[in-house]
Formats: sequence, structure tokens, C-alpha cells
Amino acid sequence: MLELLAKLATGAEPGFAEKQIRWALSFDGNGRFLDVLELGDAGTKGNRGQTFSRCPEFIRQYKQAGGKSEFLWDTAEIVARYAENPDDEDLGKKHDHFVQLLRGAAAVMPELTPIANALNDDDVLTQIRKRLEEKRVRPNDKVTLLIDDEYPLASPAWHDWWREQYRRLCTGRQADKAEKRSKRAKRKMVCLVSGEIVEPLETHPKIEGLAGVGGQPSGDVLVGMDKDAFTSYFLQQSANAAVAQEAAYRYRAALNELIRNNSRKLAGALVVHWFKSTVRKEDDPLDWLDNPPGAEESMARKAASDLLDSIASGKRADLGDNRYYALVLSGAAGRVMVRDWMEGQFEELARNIGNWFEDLSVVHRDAGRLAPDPTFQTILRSTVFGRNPKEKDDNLPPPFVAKMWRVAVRGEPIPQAALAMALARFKADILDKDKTFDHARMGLMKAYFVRKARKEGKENHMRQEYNWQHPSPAYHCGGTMAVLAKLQQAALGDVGAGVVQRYYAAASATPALVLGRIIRTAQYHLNKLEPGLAHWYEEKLGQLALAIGDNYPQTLTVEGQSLFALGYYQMWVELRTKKSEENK
Amino acid sequence: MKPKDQVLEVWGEFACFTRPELKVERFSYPVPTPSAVRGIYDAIYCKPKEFRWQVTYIEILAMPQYIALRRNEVKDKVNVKKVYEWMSGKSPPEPIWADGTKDELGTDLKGRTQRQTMALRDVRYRLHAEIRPWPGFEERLSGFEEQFRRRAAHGKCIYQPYFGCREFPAYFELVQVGAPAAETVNWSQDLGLMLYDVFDLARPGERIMEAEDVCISAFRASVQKGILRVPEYTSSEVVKVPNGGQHA
Repeated sequence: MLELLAKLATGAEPGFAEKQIRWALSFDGNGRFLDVLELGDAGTKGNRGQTFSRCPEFIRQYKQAGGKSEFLWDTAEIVARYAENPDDEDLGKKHDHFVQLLRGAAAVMPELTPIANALNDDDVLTQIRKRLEEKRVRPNDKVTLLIDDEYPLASPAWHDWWREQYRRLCTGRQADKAEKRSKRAKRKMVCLVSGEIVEPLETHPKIEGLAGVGGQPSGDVLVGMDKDAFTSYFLQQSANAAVAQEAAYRYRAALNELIRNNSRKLAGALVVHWFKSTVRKEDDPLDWLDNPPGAEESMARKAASDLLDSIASGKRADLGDNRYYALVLSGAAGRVMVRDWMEGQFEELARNIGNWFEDLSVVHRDAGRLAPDPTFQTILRSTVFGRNPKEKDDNLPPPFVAKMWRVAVRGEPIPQAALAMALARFKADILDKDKTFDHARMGLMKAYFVRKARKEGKENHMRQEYNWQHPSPAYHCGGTMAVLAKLQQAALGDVGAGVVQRYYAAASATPALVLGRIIRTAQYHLNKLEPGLAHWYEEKLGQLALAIGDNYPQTLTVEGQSLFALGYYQMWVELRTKKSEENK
Repeated sequence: MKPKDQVLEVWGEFACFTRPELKVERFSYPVPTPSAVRGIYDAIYCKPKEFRWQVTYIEILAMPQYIALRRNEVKDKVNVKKVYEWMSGKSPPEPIWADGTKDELGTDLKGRTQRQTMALRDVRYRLHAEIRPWPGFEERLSGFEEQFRRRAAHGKCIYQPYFGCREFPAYFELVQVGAPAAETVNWSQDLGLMLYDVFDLARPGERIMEAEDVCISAFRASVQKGILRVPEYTSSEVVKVPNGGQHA
């Protein structure tokens, strides 16, 4: 896994990292402070700033000793002593280190000398702090320098100088430490990423961008064993999983890049995915889960089958040979937690995603067409309570989301828990007359039965529309309930709490006990209708009674109740179709 | 004399063959590592000074399925030195703090923590391994093999074999010579670099007493139609530090 990530990032080099920096202190060539500028999408909420692809970065151990700062960039707190107590001793040391590095680099970039002088001047610092405060910069925000409209950070002039510094201070330091600790750190081990024999890195660089999913703003480590219980065979820290420094920096660079540009958030977790060879966005089946192609119905299924056809016919041989990789991550107390890892053939992925949309497709509540392809998030939200999408997302249990992700991507059966959750929401919503049916929820319930039949190798009886040949009495009991509801509406119009609000819950749990009684009282409704319509309804009830036979179920399980709900919905739509056809 | 193929069928509810790089929030390899399989054979019959087990291949009989488990775990380990001191009456016993926060214990390195395990569930494998006697014990090969077969056939073991973690027991059955071939899953995948073993299998077995004794080896694992072939430890396909990793 790490090996694949490391392969992605070929240009990564220890000592360099990509950083997003939000603020710049602008100076003129003589070191006169001009202003504080916001970089990136200035003024927008959540602006992360401008991306600098090659920023200098010290190894973590070097900074852990305290009193150290980065070169050319760091937090506003350190660069400008921008804190509640600017005279704090520790902060002072870090600030001095920042200035000292600027002076050191002045050998290759003379323009840094006046800036170093300015940053040493208390008056200038007060001026900078005032502007930072006016611009509402947070002390932890990253800051860099701008001299005469040029970012020293973007210049390659300091690269060689920095490499030398890094080698002396970081890699050299590791060697010193190794000397002191004698054999332990000096030992060579097999790098689990590259397979080479190397001296393992003690602590790994941090992965950024997981703050929204339980991670820390400063980053989290993917490979790190600081507690005794997680080390083995007397090995210390990351020697437990030996990785070479170069390899660690490479996987970090790749993962950071993926998180920033190619990730989606799924209830408490972040999904990143990539392909062995690049795939265009419109051909990416995983992207369809969020953005089903085309606004029209069943476009996602068509896209999947078109893609599969072109792979089979050799038109897109490039995709046939491709592989996908997907990683589900979240943060936990400074560590990156891998929740899931998937890989496979591109073709298999396209087929699974195609099946996902196919299995979910269900008739539209307005009848006569299919419901639009739902997004993955809509499906998840249809299973939980919430007054708005955000509240629903908050109510989604993360392990459930991870499982559903596997269901969609790998074509696994839908867990019964999902069915139970969807059913509970369905039963709650049906009591509210103002609520309409949720297509995603009905689709999910239908897909459960389709996949169950597929797994067990049985015939699938679920259709997009009502299936009169369905063998389950529970399904037709649901259909009967829909006819009774429509009948009441036809006879009495709007009646406040109708037969559905009064009896749905009882009928779906114990049909034998309840349905008979409602059918009996339906006679009063039939008598109120004109004879032709009454006959039409009687005929429907008769057909359904025939389909059920003598098998009115006494009690129904979650699966039975879900079939009841699907029968109810599909019959409800069918009656609409018939009526609208008759009206024509 | 050529060593015979010793075949075991093993199964269990859970398994976790932890990837070393993800061993804190444990994440299992989809298939057993050679060292986990060696551990299963060792649990039934081992004489580290007389022979070692060489795993030859693993047949996967059930598709790997992951399950996420969350458990409360402790952060520190038993201090062996302290236990010896307590045994000889030199110091009072020191418990492992199974609970408690940083405020109560004064350190972040003790107490309880919640960790995730991505384990495998409902696993079933058919394992193949051979006994490799150490120099001087070659003549006893057939004796070792008979002994192993007798023990395995009676379900005897030194301790319960397990799938990667002790809490995931492995149930086993000896597959008799001439038994019908197993039906492996139709699954092929390149798994990349995988852990081979932590012990130096090129020398008669000794306990790991310090970090210097560890010799982690790895190999390129590839499952073809449900079968993972395991290269010979001494072959060049197994990446390891020369001289057993000692002071390279």
C-alpha cells in the first residue's frame, strides 16, 4: 500500500514538502515593511492559501528539541512573535532561529539580509503585529515573505544551500544520535516500502489535511509507535516498521497530494482514490458515486455499460489494463487510522458501480419514469434522522459509512442494519402526510433484496415497478395497504389521519390481524364511489387477495416489513400511473 | 531424504495478520504471512534446536473479508524485570493500569486507549509446510514427520495455534495423504512487499532477547488463483539483511 503511494510521488525529496500558506509579509528590497497580504482565495471562508510546491521542511526530531523554526515560512506566532506575550522566552528562541536561518541563506540570496534586519527590529515587529491583528490572522496561520513582489519561497536559489543545511542538521543529526545510541539506530533493516536495505527513519513525517475527520491541524503520522504496547521485539519507535527516509517522504507527498486534490469526506472519514494510470474525470466510476453523470434517469448505468462495452471491444484497452486503489482514512489522537483499503481491476470497478446504480433504480413517485440516479451521500442520508443534510451526516455512524462504501465499490451485499435503518425512517415518514417518498431510501431497500438474491444464487423478484408475480405475501400485503389508502382518498378526500396514519404501523407488523379488519371497513368507502370506480378497486383488491392466497402473515420481520413497504410504494405509484392513464 | 509436504487445514472466526507499518491501528494483510503460518506449525510441534518449518504455499479457501473491531487496549507492557524482582521478594507487585487518564497516572504512556483492528473474518486455509532439520539432525527427519502427524491427527498442540493475534484462535485438522484437493477461491492479486518473518530462519532458533536478534525479512507476495506461493527462506526472493542483520 505504502509502496504504491511512494511510487505515485516520484519528485518528492526529503527536506522538501508542499505547503499551503495563507499570509505573506510584504517588504520592499530595502527591508521596509509594506503590508500583510492574504494569499489564495482572499476573503473566502476556509481559504487555505497559496500552494508552494517546494518548501523547506526540517525533520520532526530536529524541531522536537525546541527553539527551532522552519526556513522562509512558519507560523505568524514565530515569524512576528505574534502572541499574547511576544516576549515569551521559548517563542523568542524560535523567532531568533528563523532570523538566523535568513541570515545564513543570505550567502546565496542577498536580498534576505535586509529582511532579517527588519525582523530583528522591535518597531517593525510591532508594526507587523498590528497589521496581523487588523487582518485577523491567527497565531497558528502559516506566513511567508514577499520581497518586491517575489516570493523567496518560490525561488530555486536557496535549494542547494538548503540541501546542505538539511543534510548537516537532519540526516547528520540522525547519524550523531545513532552513534550515541550505539548499535540500535545504526542497524540496517529491510525497508517495507522499497525492499531495500536501509537505516530506518525513527519518526515519520506528518500527513496533513485530516483535521476535519479527527486529525490534528498540524498533521498526523501514518507510521508511528510511541507507546510500549505497540512495539515488538525490543524495537523502538518506527524501527517496528522499517521505512527509508526517502520512501517515507515519497508516500507522505503522495498522500498529502491525494488528500488535498482527490478526496471526499464520508462521515468522519476521508476517502482517497487513484488509478495505476491516470483516468479522465468523466471516466472515473468512483466520481459517479458523488456526481452521477447526466441529470436524466439511469445515465450512470448507461455510462458504466458503455465503458464496459468499450473495454470489451478493445476501444479503451488502456482502461482494461488499469487498476484502482482506494483508501479510507481518519485521524485518531495524532495518528492516521486506515479504515479500509481496496484495490482491483478497473473493469471490475466499473461493473460494480454500474450494478450499484442498477440495483438502486426504482420507479419515480410521479410514475411513468425512473427516479434519478442517487448520489452516494443521498443514499446514506436516507437512513438517518436529521432536519438538514448536515445533521443527517452527523448522525451517520462512521463504521456504517465505511461498510456502505465497500458495498458500493466492491459489490458486496447490503447489510441488514442498513435495511433496518431505512425501514425505521420509512415508517416514521409515512406518518407525516406532508412527506413524500424518498427515492434513495426505496432504492436502497430494493437493492438489499436484489443483492441478497444474487448472493444466494436465487431468482430476483424485485423490479423497478410493482411485480404482480412476486412470491412474497408480505409484498402484496403492502400493495393491498396502498389500494386501501387510495380507496379511502377517492371516497372521502382528505380526512386528517387516514388509514395509513392509523393502521400502517400495525398492518406492516401483523398483517393477518389488521388487514382483514381494514378490508372489511373499506366496504363503506366502496359504497360511496360511483359503481365503475368501485368495481375497479374491488378488482384490484381481488387480484391482490389472489396473489396473497391464504398466506396472510401473522407477524413480519424486518425483511418482511421492508417488502411490505416496497409493495406499498410500488403499488402506490402503479395506482397513480393507472389513474393518470385513465384521465388521458 | 526429501522432506514430505505436511498439510493442515485451518479455520477460525477472526484473523489479523498485521501489517507492520499499520500495527497501532492494526490492519491485516488479506492473507497469512509465512511467519503466521510457521507459528501455527510451531504451536503443534516444534524443536527449534533440531529443525525448522519451511512454509511452501498457502491455499486460500475463503475470500478475505474484513471486519472492523474497536477495543479498549492498554498502552504499556508488563515489565519483566519488575516481575522477577517481585518473584524474588525484592519489590512489591506493580500492576498494569488498565484504566486511568493522564491526570490520574501522570503520564500519557500508561492506561487505556481505544484502538481499531481491521481483522479478517471467517477464514479458512490449507497450509503446506516442510520440516527442515538443522545440520546433525537430518537422520531424524522421518521421526520428526511422524511425530508431527501423530500430534496433529490427535489435535494435540503445545498451545492453541492462532491467526496472527493470540485472541484469534486457529482450529486445525491434519489433511491426510491422498485427501481430495481443496477448492481455492478464484482470486488473484499482487500484494506487494509482505513481511516474511521476524526471526532469522537461517540459524537454529534462539529467543529474541534484544533488538539485535531481530531479522525482519520480506518478499513480494502474489496470490494466483487463490494460492500464495512462499519462496524458500534462503532464496534471493526473500529480502533480508545479510548476516541476520547483526551490526551491519
